[in-house]
Amino acid sequence: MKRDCLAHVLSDAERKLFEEQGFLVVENALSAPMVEKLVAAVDGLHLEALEEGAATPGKLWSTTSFFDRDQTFLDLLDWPLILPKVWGILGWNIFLYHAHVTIKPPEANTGSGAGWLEWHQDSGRVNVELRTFPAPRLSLKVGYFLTDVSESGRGNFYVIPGSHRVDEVPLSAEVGRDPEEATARGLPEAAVPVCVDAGAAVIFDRRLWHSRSANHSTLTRKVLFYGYGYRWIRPKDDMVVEHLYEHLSPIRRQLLGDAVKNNGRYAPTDEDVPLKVWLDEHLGTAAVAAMDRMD
Amino acid sequence: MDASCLDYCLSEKERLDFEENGFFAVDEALPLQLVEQLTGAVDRADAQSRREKGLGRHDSNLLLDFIGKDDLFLELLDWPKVFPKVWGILGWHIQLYHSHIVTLPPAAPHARNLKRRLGWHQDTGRLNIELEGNPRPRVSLKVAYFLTDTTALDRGNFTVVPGSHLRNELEMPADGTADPAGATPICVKPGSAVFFDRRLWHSAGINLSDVTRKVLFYGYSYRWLKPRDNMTVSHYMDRCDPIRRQLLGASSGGMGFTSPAAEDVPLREWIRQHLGEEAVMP
Repeated sequence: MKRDCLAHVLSDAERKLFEEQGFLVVENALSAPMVEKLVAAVDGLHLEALEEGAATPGKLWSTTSFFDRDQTFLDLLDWPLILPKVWGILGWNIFLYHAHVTIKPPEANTGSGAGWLEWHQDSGRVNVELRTFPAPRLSLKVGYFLTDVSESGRGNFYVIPGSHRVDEVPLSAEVGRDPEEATARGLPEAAVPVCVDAGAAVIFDRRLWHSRSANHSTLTRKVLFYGYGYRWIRPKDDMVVEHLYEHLSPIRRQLLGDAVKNNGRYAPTDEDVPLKVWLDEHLGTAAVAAMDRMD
Repeated sequence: MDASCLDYCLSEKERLDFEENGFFAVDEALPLQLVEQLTGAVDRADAQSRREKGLGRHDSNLLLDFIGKDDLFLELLDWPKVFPKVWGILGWHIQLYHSHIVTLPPAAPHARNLKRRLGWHQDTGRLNIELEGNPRPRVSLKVAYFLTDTTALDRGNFTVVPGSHLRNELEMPADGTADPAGATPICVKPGSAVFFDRRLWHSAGINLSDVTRKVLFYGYSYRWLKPRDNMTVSHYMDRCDPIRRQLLGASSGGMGFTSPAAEDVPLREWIRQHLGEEAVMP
């Protein structure tokens, strides 16, 4: 990891915004050539899935554990414009607990608004089982948008700003639990589409209420989601990555879930957390210790 | 799992004790014959571990991941007098995330008169930094099975500050050696089980007796927590019933740890069948 990334640490204004809204937009997180490379890599995965029958033409498709398919996916793990903001929010005891690519092709506007996902917070049972209010953050996701969704109606990511810190979200009863039945009619009043250009990254809190929406444009919406969480939570998908460890830098190994010892996920020493060692060197041990007292 | 365990469900008094104090004790959780057998198994594992670590006869030994070392240890995983209280507190979406033995021999002669503070801590390390909130959420608990008589006060008793599970910080006396206000040694007979909240401030006491204190700790948590030790249990899986497999960390895949399907959580179905739908909500 290069020192240059320190130019992109979380600013006080960004921290405040993230705390208040539950999400943060980073425009131009990816250069145009990087977006092109990622689109090619994602299209390759999609094409293969179509050929194998794992994807259906014109239908929503999502996949995980793609890190051995293209070097560019690995490069996003510690992306210099983004990772400093992730550690700025969560600290250094982190790993990628979940990653998925989602492709949403255009769909017919049937008028019913089909194509919406149910409104949800991430991490399933965690939302039931953490009983303090507001529940702790635990993890966040970075959505890298590879498609221009600067206008609504393009399958935009919808959020309810500030909803990560409220107990009950006044969602309309029409929002179905089954994604197949969810419709735009249930759109909560406070919900907004996140409209961003291709190459933007949206960092959002696990607890933020969010939803996919219908794509009535002519563009296929492509997004890569990288979920970072504390090293003591289990991965959300199968994260088939261990065979990659020997070719990775120590920080990338940490981020892909490698551990010297399981106890080190809870009581880490330096050998467990190369990201902390790097931060100690570049920010100073006092600044790194202060990160533990942010909250 | 035999339905007779339902005689030992969490009582309202136990629930209240646990919520208010962060712990409670269950006497005679294990019959004395089993305590003897377990002591033999602990002594074997402890002796080997002490040789490997080069520990002296006065050193305490923290032996992680013992669950796979003897079939007897597996029996305690869903022990009928204890396990219903575990799900009574945490619910059905649980696993064993950690197991450890602590053997605490008599203190060395030179350490007996030292004035020193006990090793006060909450469990699970960085969760106490990385989870926001005051108090932080529970997430896990431990059951401590005492194999040694600690009814006297000099036996290195498990010591707690009742109610401190609701406090992120524990104020310590300024002298640097005295224990915090409210520090209470727990006195229990062999075969007792002490349930305690992850967040409860606790410590082993100083063992001034001539008896080595032996305790087995079983840590239960929600299934989305990573195990704290290596959980060397694959050799048990084939002969375990589905509920034990759940408790030992089985899952249909990563997704099943936060969005479990029925096959991931046989404990839920068992409780539903025996206690009804309400018992497994939400």
